[in-house]
Amino acid sequence: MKVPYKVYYERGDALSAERIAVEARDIDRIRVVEGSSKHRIQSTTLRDSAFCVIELPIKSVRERAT
Amino acid sequence: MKTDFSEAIGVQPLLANFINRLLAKPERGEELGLVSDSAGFSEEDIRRKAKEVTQVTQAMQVIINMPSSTWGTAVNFSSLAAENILLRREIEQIKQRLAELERKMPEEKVIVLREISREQAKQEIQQLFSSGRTLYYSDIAEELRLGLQLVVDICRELEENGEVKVDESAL
Repeated sequence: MKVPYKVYYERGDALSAERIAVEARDIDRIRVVEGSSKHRIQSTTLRDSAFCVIELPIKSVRERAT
Repeated sequence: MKTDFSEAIGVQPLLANFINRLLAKPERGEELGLVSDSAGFSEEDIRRKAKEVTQVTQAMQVIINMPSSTWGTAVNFSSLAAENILLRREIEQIKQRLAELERKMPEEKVIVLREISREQAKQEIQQLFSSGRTLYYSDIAEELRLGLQLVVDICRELEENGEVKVDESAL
């Protein structure tokens, strides 16, 4: 099915964003990575029918009649 | 672990003694104000019951008295008490750690996805946006209990049609 956005299927394709929504049949346990920087990184792996999308805040074009 | 059997030991001999006296002298029952020909129970019945009770009491005595015979030589009460305190403290620490881990654990929320047609899903998403809220794909998927991929497809379609737009202020 043709979709109006880019979908990456190849191994090694990557997404990088501030906020990514994900879904999959199986999600591994969260692993906490204590790096040298002050940021605490958490990582996990999605398995089986994984789908990820860079999130966008969306709102209606029509102005609300208040 | 219960380490203090003083109560049980104190009670056992009294019970056995009382039953033995009752068996040895049946007329004793009368002194105690018991009716010898009690309604529904023959003397034989009462003797049988008393024998059963004696057997149970003796069995209990064996169970409780076994460790007490070795206490004098092998078991040090103070070390047992100290061990008890240490174990209690350890349990308390484990409880605290468990509560801490439970707090840190992300809550698992089960969402049963609805199986609805694409058209109906589109209508529901349009309706959701009519409230004027700014929503992320994941918000819509969760609120309407729809698959993420379907939500993204429909939102991009609505965006192309000019019905919705990216909220630049939220970026």
